[in-house]
Amino acid sequence: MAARDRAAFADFVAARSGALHRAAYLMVGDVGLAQDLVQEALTKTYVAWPRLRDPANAEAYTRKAITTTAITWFRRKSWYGERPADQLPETSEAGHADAVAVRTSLMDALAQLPPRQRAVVVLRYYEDLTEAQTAAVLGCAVGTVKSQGAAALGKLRALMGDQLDLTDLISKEVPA
Amino acid sequence: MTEQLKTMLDRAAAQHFDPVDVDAITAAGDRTVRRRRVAAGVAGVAVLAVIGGTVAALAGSGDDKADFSDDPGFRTDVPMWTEGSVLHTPEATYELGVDVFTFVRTSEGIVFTGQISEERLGVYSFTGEGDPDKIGETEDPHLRSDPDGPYAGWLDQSGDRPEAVVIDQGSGDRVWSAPAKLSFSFPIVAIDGSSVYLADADEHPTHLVDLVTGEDVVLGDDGLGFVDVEGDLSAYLLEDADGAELGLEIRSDDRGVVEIRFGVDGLGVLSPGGRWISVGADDVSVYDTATGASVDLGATDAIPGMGIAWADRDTMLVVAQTAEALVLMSCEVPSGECEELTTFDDFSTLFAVPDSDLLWMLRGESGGLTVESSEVSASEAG
Repeated sequence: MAARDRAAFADFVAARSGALHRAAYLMVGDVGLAQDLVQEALTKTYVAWPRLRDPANAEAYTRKAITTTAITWFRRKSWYGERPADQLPETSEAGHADAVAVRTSLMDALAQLPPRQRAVVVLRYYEDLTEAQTAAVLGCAVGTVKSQGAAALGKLRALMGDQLDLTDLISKEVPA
Repeated sequence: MTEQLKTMLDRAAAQHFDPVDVDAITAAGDRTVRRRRVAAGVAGVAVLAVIGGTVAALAGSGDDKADFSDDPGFRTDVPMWTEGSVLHTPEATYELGVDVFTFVRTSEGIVFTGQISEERLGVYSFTGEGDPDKIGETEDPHLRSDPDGPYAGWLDQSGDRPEAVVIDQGSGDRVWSAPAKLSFSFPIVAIDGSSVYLADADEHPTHLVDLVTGEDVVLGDDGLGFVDVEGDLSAYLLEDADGAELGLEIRSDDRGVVEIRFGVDGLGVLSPGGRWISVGADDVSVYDTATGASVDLGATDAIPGMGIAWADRDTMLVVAQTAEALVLMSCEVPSGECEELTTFDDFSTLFAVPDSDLLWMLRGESGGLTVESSEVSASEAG
């Protein structure tokens, strides 16, 4: 166990667990699931710790573990029953919705995205990763990130209507 | 507004999360590392051969050496193993029709997994006659049973939601089930008699369910690393205050705690009845659970390998490593007399021994089946 520095790992967890939980929550839409996801990803990170060398690598590794595990979970049919994937947001309320309603609508809309598109949204627009970094996390080509991102934004706009203005983002991300 | 999505995501993600239990994570991670290290130590040659090999394309591979039999006297308290879809016992061989990935024994027969798609395993029951019955599906190769009783359990994913299930192989009925989380570990860590030991996040059992009475006992979290259970004996990891591995400890109501200090990997398999425990070490090692003393197995002590299952109370199945192959032997304890059963040197054919997670972990590393616990680098395995 000498190669696994528990103190350094604990420092990493203390510094980054909040951000990792938030990203995991956006990917799975459930606090309990997000906590399970982070715990699993951190366990994998701890096992891999000797070859990660520095905290930046550890965070990238954990983020990848969260993302790939979340996608795997969503591909298992059983997990769809855990979230309101069949409930469309109340777009007619957009004009006077308070922050809570908008947040609910966003999470409902995210839940209706295919798992890889949802991961692209979180990685690109919440984690602020570049397309290349996102492709590395997902293990796919940059072109796939572009196409998945464009499809995701288009679907979010369709689902959320006036609650979310993505005009600038879509015009930048989607070639004419 | 380009930033609006970011802002909304920030607000949506502002939830309350429980603090991370670093100790639980490092304990689970340490156990994963230990299992992998033992697996690699038992069969490092196999790891290299299989990683470069053809495990992913095994469908249909069979054993043309099989001498098939309909022997009605199907016994499971004997040395047995599988190669491809063929089950070998001392008296007969049985064509199961499915390449066996993992299997466990009960008093009634065997329960095994076989690959049915890239990520999915069928769970089958075979009691010595006719064709195996498909009794479930899973993505988790862990199976649990007590060879002395009729019960076998696994994580079943054939329905809409994953469940931990236990069958009585004598009747074929599912006698217990409960919703299970798809976490990195398996929900049923052990079956002993009519007792099912259940875990949550890792392999430490937190509940004990009695299949006969239905009683559900909370075991609590004492922080001990679970290894095996047999009757009133429970084996746990023995660590010092800093978490360094010292060996195993055997706990029982009658004898208290017996320490086995062998200073290496914390893997152990209790014999039926619990008189012996085979432990993970450089060479075949067996200890007397009553005294904690090492058993003198003569020349067998020098065989690089491990007793990874027990055919009966005094007969151990040993997987030994040679330069080019794995050798399966049946060894008597305490005499140390061994008989070679077979040699696994064709890594294009799946092989399995009962009641063991080690071999499928090795094969999992090859990419033959997507199993999350198989992720391991060469540096970690060494």
